Amino acid sequence: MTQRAHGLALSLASVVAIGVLALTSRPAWGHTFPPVRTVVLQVERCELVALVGYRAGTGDAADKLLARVASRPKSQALEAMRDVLASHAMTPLTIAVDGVALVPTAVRAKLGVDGEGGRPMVVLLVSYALPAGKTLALSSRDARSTRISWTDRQSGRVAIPEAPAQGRWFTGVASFLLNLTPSGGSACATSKSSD
Amino acid sequence: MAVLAACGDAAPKASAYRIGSLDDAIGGPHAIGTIGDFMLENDQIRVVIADTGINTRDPSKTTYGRVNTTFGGTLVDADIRRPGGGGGRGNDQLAELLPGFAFSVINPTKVEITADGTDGKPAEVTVYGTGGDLLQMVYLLNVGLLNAVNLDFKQTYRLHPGQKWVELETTIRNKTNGAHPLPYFQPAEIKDLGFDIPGLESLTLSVPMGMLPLLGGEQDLFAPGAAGFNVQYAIEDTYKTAGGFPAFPGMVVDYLASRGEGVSYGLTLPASPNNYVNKYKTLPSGAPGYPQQDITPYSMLLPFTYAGVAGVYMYAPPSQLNAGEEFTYVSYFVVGDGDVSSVLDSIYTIRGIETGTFGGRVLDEHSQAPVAGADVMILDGQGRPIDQIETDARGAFLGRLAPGDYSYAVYADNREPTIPASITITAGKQTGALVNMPSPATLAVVVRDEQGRSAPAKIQLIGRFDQANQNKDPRTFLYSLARGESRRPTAFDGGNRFVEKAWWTKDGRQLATVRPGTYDLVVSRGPEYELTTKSIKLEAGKLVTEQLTLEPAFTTPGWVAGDFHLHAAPSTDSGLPIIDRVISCAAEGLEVAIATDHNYITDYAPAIAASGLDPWLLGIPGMELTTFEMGHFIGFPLKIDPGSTRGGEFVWHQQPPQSLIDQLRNLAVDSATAIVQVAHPRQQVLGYFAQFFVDDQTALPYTPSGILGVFAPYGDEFSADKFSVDFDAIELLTGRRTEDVHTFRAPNPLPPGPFPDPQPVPGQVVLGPDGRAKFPGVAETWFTMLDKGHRATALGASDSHSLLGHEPGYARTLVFVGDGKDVPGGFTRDDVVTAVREHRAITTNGPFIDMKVGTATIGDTVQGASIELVIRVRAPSWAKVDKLTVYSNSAIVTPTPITIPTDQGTDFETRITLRPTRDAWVVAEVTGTSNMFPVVSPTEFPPLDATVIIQALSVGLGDGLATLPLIASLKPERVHISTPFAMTNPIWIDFDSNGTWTPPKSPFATRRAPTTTTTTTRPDVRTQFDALPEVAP
Repeated sequence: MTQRAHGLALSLASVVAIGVLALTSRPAWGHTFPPVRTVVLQVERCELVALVGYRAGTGDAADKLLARVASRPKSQALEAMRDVLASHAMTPLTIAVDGVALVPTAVRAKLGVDGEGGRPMVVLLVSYALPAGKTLALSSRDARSTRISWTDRQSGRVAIPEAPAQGRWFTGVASFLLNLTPSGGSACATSKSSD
Repeated sequence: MAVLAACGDAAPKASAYRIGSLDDAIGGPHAIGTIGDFMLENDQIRVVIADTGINTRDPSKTTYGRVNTTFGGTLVDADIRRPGGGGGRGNDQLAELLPGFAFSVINPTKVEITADGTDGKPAEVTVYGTGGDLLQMVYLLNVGLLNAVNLDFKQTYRLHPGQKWVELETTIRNKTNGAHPLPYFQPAEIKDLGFDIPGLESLTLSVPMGMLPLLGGEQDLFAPGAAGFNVQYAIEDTYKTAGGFPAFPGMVVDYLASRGEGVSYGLTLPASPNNYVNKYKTLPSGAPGYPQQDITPYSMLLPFTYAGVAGVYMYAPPSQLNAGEEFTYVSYFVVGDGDVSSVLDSIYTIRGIETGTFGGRVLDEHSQAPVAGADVMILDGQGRPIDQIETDARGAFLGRLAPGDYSYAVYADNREPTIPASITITAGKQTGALVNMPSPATLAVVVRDEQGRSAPAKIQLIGRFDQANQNKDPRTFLYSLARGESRRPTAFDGGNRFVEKAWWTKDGRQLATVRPGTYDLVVSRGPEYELTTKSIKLEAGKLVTEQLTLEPAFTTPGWVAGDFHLHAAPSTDSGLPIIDRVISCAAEGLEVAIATDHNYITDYAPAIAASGLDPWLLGIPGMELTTFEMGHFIGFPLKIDPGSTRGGEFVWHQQPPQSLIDQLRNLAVDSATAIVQVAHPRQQVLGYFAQFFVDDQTALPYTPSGILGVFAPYGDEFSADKFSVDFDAIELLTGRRTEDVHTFRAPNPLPPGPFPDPQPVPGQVVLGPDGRAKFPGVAETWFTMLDKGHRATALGASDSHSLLGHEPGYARTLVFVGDGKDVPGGFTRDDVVTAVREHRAITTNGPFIDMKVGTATIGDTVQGASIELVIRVRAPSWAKVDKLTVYSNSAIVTPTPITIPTDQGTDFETRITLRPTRDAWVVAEVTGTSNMFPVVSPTEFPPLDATVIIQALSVGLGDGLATLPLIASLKPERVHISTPFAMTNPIWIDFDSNGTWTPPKSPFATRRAPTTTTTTTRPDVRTQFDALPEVAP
């Protein structure tokens, strides 16, 4: 008789060993750091709120960013930094319902510095009115740098069983789709909502 | 010409319907199909497809993890249509079959009948779904290769009338408006994510797709060619010759099959331009992707297997799926009637291959009596197995073969095999053979114990092979796994002893036929008995009778021996009938057997009663709540719910540890006193402490550095705040893995390097790059918990899934049930539970440690600043001990370790004075170097080791992977003889006699941890934004 295992997971552990060990790494010290963009989508009954964080990369990317900031008057340096970072954060992103891009109804931004490497970062709170439709899509033209998570606040707008898991980070996703329920959105006003 | 049809003959039909009653289900050792699942059947076979498990009306009742893997929609039961098999009396031995896409699977959203078969056409059941991670640990890898979040999946199970196979049609569809490359990321992009592997950017990756068959513990996997029935080791051999990426390493097979009692299974596929192996048989460099392996148009790739669970990669998808584009592939799942031949017959039909037949009878050469259950192995021109035909009760066999020249040999465990003979098969013609098989010898043994009773006992035949073969791999000369022979464990000590046969008897009686030879007949009954040995000569066709008496080695007044972790047939990965399990426990001298099948509550009581073992063995119902990545948790005594297909209802998928522990308590007979035990806590992937990266010095989780840190925590339920210590016991020693007990220290002298920094020092703990123990021990972690005042009871258990080579009771736990109560019928289940709760337990695989302070013993608290510890060690002569070590508050107590003189290795006593300076605990440990063979088998062959996989994966990466720490040579040795070990639970010392025991370290903040992982607790992003500090001018 062949030898017996103890647990299905052990066999799957060998899958893990193949996969994980194929991608083992050394610490990245001594290298440049790429930018990181995190997007949290919060779906509400009539509104979509996105919390977007963006941390600038090091090396050439940082040099260009600083150059743009330096071209503004010194008294506006922080504001310039915030605007430039916000632009980097949002430009690659598109949020659309049934292919029609949503226009923000409110945008707030805060500038900060990350605790690890002292790199500048920005956090934006962007609100959108959520119309009726079939599909809500977040697209990123910079998938490599983007991590997406989403959460539903009992909106009744999203087909939960078909949706990706809430609260999990999805990395490197170029297009993140949520199917909308057919009956949702009908009671929502079409004018922009306040935050 | 008129065609006459007999009255009442109906054309065969296939049908699909929803199971409405358990009488409609298949039934059998591994059947889990239940009401609400889908039946697909015809006149030949019956299969069940599980429902999604999703409860749309009440999501809290969604049952992820009801089947063996996480999600529903998989094929879970399969059997041939058999007379009297209705009403749930079938013989399903299949665990599960599901499609796999690299490391992703289908998370079903809907299962429906798409063709019910009433029109005479094939019946179909179709599963729709999204991508699901089989293992959260590799979810980033899944993103890099597949990025399933933007794909739709569909699996159609199609059954034609009259066919013995199910057609599996698997489809993936790009549901986005853009292109979806496969692999999703190129190596350079994966590197940008932070996976900085030298040479990665020069690789070409691939995304293999196929099936994941879990064929069940009763089934022996078979692959024609070099593997035969030796699939696991044959796959490992192929790693050494791997061609490199994009060809994923593994074994190339023409088809996959299995053999089992009354049913067998197989997988194959049609020829296709998308065949994975054929696509990568030549690498972009021109080198072969699978050198030295036979490739056919039907080839499949087996990258791994373990005990009937295999990955089967079949197809390579296109390099890109455009918007809305689909990729579909087809495979076939065959159901046979017990041997490989019945599966191969169907495969020939599927492929349209003309065949001839080979049949005949196998008879005993002396008596001419038919030899039933023998394996007629068909061998190719190189002597490699390509088919197996089992003889029936009349010794007859019949199978189909493609035209060609073959040889055949007949194997049976109790006879010498026949010499291979040649045959030639011609299409459309019959070839026959009458085979005379060498006769066995007959042995009749009666064993009585020291009181003259017909007691349960283990009987073994120990042979000696030619000394010229010493130190050779026994698989090359002693037995052939490829040709289906059983493994014969050797002593693994440079000598030439091996176990020819072993029987576990309920009454010391055994009548059996065996291979002729000269043997030592050895009888035993666990550590409390010596071995009784007699040399005998067994000749073909002759009967030898022997009567032997067991001699006790020592007694354990008030203590009974239990195995707290046992598997039998209800476990997917064990084919051992329950009755054989309980008999084996009694024969190994166990008095308590806790049933702990994977996600199944088993009661041994009926089997114990049926075998007349009530006076000898107490069975306690329990379960091993088995997750993929959270670890395994045992609970007992549990109630049995007859209305559940698993004995009780529970959920294991994506549950935090506290939820798993609470569920076990809720399933218990008495939730207030039930025992929750952490199984093999330090075992990689399967161990709770390992998966939470629990530090042995703090007993708390940490986030590891490097790649492990990237993957950890794997999900919300793995966050550090979810780590719970609300368990009552931990397995200190599981099975024969003594190397996991203590934190690994560098040996002296060091083996050849290279070694990563920090450089190891002989005798010192081997550290990882983060300064923590690289291989932390269970004992040191438990000691830290004791230091923090957490009184989990340490236990020993076997985790046995079979018999020979994985004997029950090694390790075991001695529990104190009370003076005079350690007699048949003298103690109860509650006595055992109380003993565990009161820590009156000794982990052991042989020795017995009696530790006292005055009249106080293990589990008690004593008072005083000067304590005299009296330790007496008893052991059988086949498990002599030679070292005693005493630990207190995680430190070794001088004057220990003490070397025990050789002449006192079976009976040693000493006194040690402790003078603690604060409240303390004290435990005693004994070890030995003697080889416990043949009672306990050695670990002769390494478990599937990451090292061989890394070496296969590193082809094409230059020396990059070879320098990584994971394949360093400094690690615990997994291959070794079994040596004696025992450790007590503590005696606690209230050194200042104030009536309170103050732990020497700060206690855990809380015993319980949160049970929820729902995201309804996620804060509003607006609130989060408002709370963020901002850099101001």
